[in-house]
Amino acid sequence: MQTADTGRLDSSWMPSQLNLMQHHTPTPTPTPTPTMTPTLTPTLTPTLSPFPLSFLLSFLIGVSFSSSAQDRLMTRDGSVSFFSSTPVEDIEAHSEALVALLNPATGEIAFQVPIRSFHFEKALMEEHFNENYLESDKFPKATFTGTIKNWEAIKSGTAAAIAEGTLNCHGIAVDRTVEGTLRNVEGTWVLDAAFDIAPDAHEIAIPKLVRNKIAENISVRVRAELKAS
Amino acid sequence: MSHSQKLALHALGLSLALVLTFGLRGQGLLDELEGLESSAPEFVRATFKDTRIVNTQSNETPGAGVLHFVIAHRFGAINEGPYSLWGLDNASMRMAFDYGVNDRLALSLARSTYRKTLEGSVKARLLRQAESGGSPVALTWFSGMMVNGLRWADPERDNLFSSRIAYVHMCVVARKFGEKLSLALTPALTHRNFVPSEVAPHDIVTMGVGGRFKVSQRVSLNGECHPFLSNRPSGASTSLSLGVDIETGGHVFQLHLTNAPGMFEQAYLTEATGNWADGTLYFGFNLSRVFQLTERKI
Repeated sequence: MQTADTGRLDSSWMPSQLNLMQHHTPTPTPTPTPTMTPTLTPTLTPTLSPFPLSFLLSFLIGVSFSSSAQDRLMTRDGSVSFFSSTPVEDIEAHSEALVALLNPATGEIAFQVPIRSFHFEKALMEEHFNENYLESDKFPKATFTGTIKNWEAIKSGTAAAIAEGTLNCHGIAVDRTVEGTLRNVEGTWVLDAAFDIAPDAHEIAIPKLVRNKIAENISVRVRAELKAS
Repeated sequence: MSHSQKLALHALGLSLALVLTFGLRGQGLLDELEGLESSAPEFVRATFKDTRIVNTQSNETPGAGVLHFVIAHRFGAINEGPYSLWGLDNASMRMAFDYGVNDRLALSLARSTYRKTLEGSVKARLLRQAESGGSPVALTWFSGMMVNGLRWADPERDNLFSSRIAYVHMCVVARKFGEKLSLALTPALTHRNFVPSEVAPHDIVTMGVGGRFKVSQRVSLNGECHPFLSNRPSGASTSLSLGVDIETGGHVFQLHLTNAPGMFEQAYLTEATGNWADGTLYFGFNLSRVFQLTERKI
């Protein structure tokens, strides 16, 4: 049970004991490691006493507490824009409601933008975007979750970032590698990324009648300033 | 503790642990995002495809800077038979310009061939339905003035201009119950300055009920009915209309079947002379087109 307790100890009224505990117990890692799965298997044998099970559980709970710690880099007002360009019509939309999180220990990232937060110059386009194309009642958010592959290099000054992960839009998840830049400007991580989304890949149906007005690849730009929360 | 109890405990523990680990590894960061979203209520959009359900007002108004131009046709009664091609030979029409001053206020000017009527109206979205803690319904107000443009039936009389005018005030209470179904209550007061006889009422109150059901992404079935709460004007049935909306880009095509030959509020609320029982029904066909006159800043 000690591991779970250390995660919650925050007062300094018993420093000696705290030091003692830090000596004897491993500090909880921010994310669980894959090696934990094999250790689960023995608990299946009915002859084992409940002790290892409760130990394992409390360890997991400890890990989950520490992983929701306050060390995230985040933003609530990142911007996402997209552009569709065809000879017939140019369409663009903007959102300033991108929520993003970065775990600086691992380089894991998560982005989320409400589909309804995109605004268009033409009111009817915005309605059709929500009603007919992205179906925002059914699929209210678009998300990207993944890992910045070269996070260690970025922390030591490289600007070019490569993220691998899953882009979920219109309820269809697609594995993507996205390139961008990530710069540390006085403690704020400024992220810029550009990529294309093909409506086809996310099963966004475009009727024949308007196919010449909507590009096969929509360019998306993301900009966010991530700060320690 | 029995053997089977222990086994059950272990199984429970294992599944809990698995849920925790998978939860942490797969969705962890995304779950953390959930708590960070803004809690501002999001307004429900597109309760109806158009500013009208069939004949009557929906809660919608044209967006800011949008000119919504509607050419509506209402044909003769379908039970006239093949000689007049089931009423298609006798078309009346209505041209309307609805302009969205902003996203919540619209002004409209329209002319109908039915009694050569000119209309002016104001429509305001007082309350919008919102998710997560906002209003459960949308509330839209409509006030219109309709001017009969026919020559005086009896020019010898002392005819006043005000006798040409009727007013309609309507409150649309609408709710979108999900992606497909939207319903509306449309209580309305019609005031006629001039009535055909001394016993005919000046004020007529109706309690409209309307709705739409989306059968596909771009097609919806609409219906509305306006029972009288006050005395029914002589010769008028309860207004009952069914319609289909088909959306194609910047156009909405609307096909209607209704017992009301007129297309403005006073006419379809209080002068539905047709009858669903004997087939005195009128086929209607609307074409609308939107023009974005001033583009919004985004």
